[in-house]
Amino acid sequence: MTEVPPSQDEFDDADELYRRASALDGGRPSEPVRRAILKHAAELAAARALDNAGRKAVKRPPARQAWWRPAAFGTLAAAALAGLLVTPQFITHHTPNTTASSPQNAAKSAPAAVPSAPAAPSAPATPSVSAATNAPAPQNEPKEEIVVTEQRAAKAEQRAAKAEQYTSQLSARNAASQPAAQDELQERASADAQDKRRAANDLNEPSKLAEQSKASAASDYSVPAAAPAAAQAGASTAGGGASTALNGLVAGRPAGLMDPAALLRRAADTGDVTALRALLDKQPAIDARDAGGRTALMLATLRGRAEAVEVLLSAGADPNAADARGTTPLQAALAGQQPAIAEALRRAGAR
Amino acid sequence: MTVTDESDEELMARYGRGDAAAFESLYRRHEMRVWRYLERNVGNRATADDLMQEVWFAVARDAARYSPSARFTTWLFTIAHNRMIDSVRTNRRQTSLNVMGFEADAVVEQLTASPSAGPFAMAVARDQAGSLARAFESLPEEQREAFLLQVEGDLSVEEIATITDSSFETTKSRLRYARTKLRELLKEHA
Repeated sequence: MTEVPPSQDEFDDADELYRRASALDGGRPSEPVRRAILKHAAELAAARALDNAGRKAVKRPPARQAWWRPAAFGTLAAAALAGLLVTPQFITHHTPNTTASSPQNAAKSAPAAVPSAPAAPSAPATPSVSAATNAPAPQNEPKEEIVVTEQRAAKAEQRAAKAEQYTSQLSARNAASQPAAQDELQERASADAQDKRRAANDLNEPSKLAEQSKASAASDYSVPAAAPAAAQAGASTAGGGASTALNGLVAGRPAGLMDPAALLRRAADTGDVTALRALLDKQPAIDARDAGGRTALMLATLRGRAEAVEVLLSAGADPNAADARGTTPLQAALAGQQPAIAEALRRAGAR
Repeated sequence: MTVTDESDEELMARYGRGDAAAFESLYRRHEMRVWRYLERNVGNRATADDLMQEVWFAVARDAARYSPSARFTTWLFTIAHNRMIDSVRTNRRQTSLNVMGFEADAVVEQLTASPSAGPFAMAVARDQAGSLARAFESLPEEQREAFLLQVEGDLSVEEIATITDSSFETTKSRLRYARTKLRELLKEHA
């Protein structure tokens, strides 16, 4: 290349010459091309505008989906706040109940817990929650007594069963020591059955014989069939319902058809002290025995009827009258874990 | 701020969001520069019209992919260069001195449509258009294109070198030779 590169001034001169010549050149794009270009660009712009609107619409759902977050957190916060406000109230009401473990304690604590209502323990005039919870209602007390009495009756049943078992063991021991023990037991069993039949005949109620037999099959010390409901109520309660029934039984029967000694044993067995006293007034044979050789005192001891034992001992019952198996009332009381009865028997001279 | 005060890049961004008015502003701002670049490279108005449509269609279509980090004119003339090269390779240069003379007559007709244009102006315009066409006809393709990219596209030597896939020094030499020859040719008719 032999040419020398031009200088910068020459560049400027060439550009100026070109611009002058271009200014004289009226060439330009044709109008159809210009319109086509602008129309095409406008169409693409409209499509882009729609596309952008669609993207915004698509982006909306995530924004809408976020609404549950503040709502959920707000609900949880409100629940937590409500819990904080309510929980102390439960705590303050619960504290006195924990100290009042028994109804008696609750009744004692009621005046202190409700100083504005000092008469609440005796007569709660206002049925407020605190008074109802701290001081039990008076009408609940008989129910509790019934429950306690039933529990005591159940315990007495258990003790009687233990005593029966103990006496059986003692008799077994005696049978081992005596050569004709087995024959004697058979005789006693037959005597028991005869005694029951005799009692049914005395009461002149043959229709109840079947029931009595069923009851005797369950227990040798069952309540007579003549007054089963009353006798069972008397066994569970010390109330006057059973006494009334037994008194009615005693009073309503013809004198010739009654066996005061058998009734006395039944009264001792059920613990019906009122009937027992009424029968003792008729001066029956207080130590008369049943088929098993058990006196009224022995039956009362086996059943744990302490008051009946006291009544019988005070009426002159023999504290050492052993049954057919040789078991004394004191042995039965000790076997049945009846220390009060055993003490009463000892005081009366039992051995 | 009016539309014309906005930069090319801002107008492109607006058009990318669907504003057709931004594109029209861009088009009117660069219409003649692109047109002269194409028409003086291919030497044919019909082909230049076709290329003009292709270039601006591509601009409108690829507006969403335009990167604001690059100058708009660089991107615009890159598209024009690629379209022009494809066309030249396909059809080679379609112009000739006769064609350019005929088209120079059309330019003269446009100029004479002006009420102020007299017979002398018509003769000067005819002569200027013909001399310019002849001058570019005499330039090698590489020198002509490099010169037009710099004068019409206002591109730097580095940008021209990148677009034409040439070295910096080669591009610089092409520009110098193109200017020297154009000065000599155009001075004769100045």
